[in-house]
Amino acid sequence: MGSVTEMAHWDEPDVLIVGAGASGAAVAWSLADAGFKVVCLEQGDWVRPADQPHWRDDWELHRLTDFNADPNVRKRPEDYPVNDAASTFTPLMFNAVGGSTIHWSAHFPRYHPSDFRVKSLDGVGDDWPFDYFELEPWYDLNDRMIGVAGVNGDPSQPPRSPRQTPPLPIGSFGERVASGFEKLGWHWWVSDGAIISAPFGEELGQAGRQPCNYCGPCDLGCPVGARSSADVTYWPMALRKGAELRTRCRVREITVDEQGRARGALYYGPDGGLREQRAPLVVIACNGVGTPRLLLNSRSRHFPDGLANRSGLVGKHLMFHPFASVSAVFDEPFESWRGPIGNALMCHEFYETDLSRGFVRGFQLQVVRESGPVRHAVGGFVADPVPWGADHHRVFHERFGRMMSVGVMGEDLPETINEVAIDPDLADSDGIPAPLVRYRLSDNSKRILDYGVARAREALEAAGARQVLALNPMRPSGWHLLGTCRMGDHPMGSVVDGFCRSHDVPNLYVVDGSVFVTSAAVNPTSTIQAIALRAADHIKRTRGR
Amino acid sequence: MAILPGGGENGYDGSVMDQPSVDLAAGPQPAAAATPAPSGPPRRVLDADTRALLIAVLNRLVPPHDDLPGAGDLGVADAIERALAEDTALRRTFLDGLRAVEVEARGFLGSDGELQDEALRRVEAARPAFFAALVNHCYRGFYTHPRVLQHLEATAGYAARPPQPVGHPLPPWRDALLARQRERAPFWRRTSSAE
Repeated sequence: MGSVTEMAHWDEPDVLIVGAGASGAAVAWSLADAGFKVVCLEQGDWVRPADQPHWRDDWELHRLTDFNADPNVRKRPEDYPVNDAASTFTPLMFNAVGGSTIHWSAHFPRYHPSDFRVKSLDGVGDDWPFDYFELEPWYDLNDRMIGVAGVNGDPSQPPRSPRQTPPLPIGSFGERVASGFEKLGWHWWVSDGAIISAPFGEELGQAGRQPCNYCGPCDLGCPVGARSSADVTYWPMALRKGAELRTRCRVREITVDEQGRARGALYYGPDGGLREQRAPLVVIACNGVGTPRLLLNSRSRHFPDGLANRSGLVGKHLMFHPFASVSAVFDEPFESWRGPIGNALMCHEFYETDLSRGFVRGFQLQVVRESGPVRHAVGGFVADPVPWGADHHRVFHERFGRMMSVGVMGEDLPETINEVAIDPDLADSDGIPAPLVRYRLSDNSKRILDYGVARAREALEAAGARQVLALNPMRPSGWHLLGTCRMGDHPMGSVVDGFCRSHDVPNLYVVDGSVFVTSAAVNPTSTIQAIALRAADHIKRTRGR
Repeated sequence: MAILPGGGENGYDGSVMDQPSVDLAAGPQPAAAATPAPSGPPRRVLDADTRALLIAVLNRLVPPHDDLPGAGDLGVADAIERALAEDTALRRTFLDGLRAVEVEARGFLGSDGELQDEALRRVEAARPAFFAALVNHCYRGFYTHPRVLQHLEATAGYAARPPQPVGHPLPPWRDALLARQRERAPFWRRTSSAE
């Protein structure tokens, strides 16, 4: 192991957080605001506005290289490799202050009440330890803290608190797709987006955030601070309250004391030296792949199969969202590069179970924009390149600015065969064993996607599309990493309790998407942050005792 | 196929690796000052014959259009060479693939356009990974070139500038769009605790 520098005892914080993304940042702010001394270790660094591609003529090339969402493509020094050869979907993530909210389209729906009662209602998966209405105060708190654009009144959801800014405009292309849903008598609603459409945040200490100017590529960052990523929302607030954020610090394992309680973290600092940071309470927030990797790499006499893993369920029940893309080409120019790439409108007509469709649970249709000319040429969401040769320019101009896409996002159900394990050979640049992801699409998920692609096609044709293209499934769609440290009431059937506390290690919390019991069929970040804030309030009450 | 003097197994002598790369940390800059992708410092990893072959191939992939030259004559090979200089595996793929193009065409440069396209289609079928990479890198270079962006501005209304600082303004949201949806009774599924 080499020499380890131990921090002096008086230097111990009240809480050590590993990971500075959506959930770790929310917990850091909540606890620092309550007077806790917080230290957070983050393997990435700040992504400065000036370093984001949006200012450059070659901005689209960065989507394919150093700002790609796949760490195996991006290969930055702070990234770790992921063996995903045995997975239908590629796990996507970003390692930085803000975590994966840096390359985030910021579509910000909430889970439906039924999503927390899947077992009771439909006899599959499991119920959550709490329901939507118990979680609702933390959904509301999170929205108030970061700023959400949208409008109330959606009949597919319970009423909710006022949104902080007006909806993001959907443009003429969004209106055209909405007309397809209207013709069919289907539901649609303008998306909630964690993107401010009007001034917000100054009074909270989020200095300098600008309202969205609809530049487009939220997936590459947001250098004007319109998007409510954790680096421009919770982190400035947490730092003002005294939280300490150490970047370029990569945690190798969580250490335990003689009683089997968490003692701290062994980590490589920016100088490459190995240190131990001790704390009476440890919070893990490394996403649904990084968190099980860290716990499985933390083996000890008390936990020979990995920390907090007496249930054997750390890493099991990996859920993505089964995803397919359907793209349409229209005759008229919509300038569909205008506006946030992932936030236009959604359709929840098929969200709930109807067994006559041939599957249990359901899906959302998420209407998204295409981007710049390179993305159009190489094939956009359906990865269907414009043909080379004599027809190239005709087809390119038929598509450019006239193309839009519908994502079919199905509910994934928890299965033990889908998992994150430790790869026996692969490691990151510090020699820390890398994750191995095994995932295969279930028959139910395949039926959801087939049915959903047909409905998306129907809607786009009703809207007047001249051509519809589909990619089913879409491999690079593993944005949502869920379920690998599931919560539950019983220590043998879950890793953490309903407040995100480890059943096995009372001073250890997991607060990221790992704790999800089921996946629902919508983007998870609002739910991840609400659960993290609720866990933080539990920590304030119990202090890990 | 000839390789650069002093080249290793892939015809690459390593001398261009010291060229400065683009400094992303330089900060927000007006579009005119930013480095367009297809220009920048030359990074030569192809010999003259291979380079001429690549240029001719690129002209078939994206041919001339309106006042735009084909991708080869536009200089897209420069961008591809920079990519090949940084990626050994990609360089090997390209060198092998371009050799196959030359063999299939029995002299690509001397063939007419139809025969060139037939040869390319045969290589596309036989070496799909190479060909997909070739087309992808051709499009990357072509559609980030200032002349192409200016053409798109004139023909499609796409502003020939980066996303920031101006953005792409949109008219504000119109709530009247939701009038029919608002008439619909709530249909979210009730759970016992919600009753």
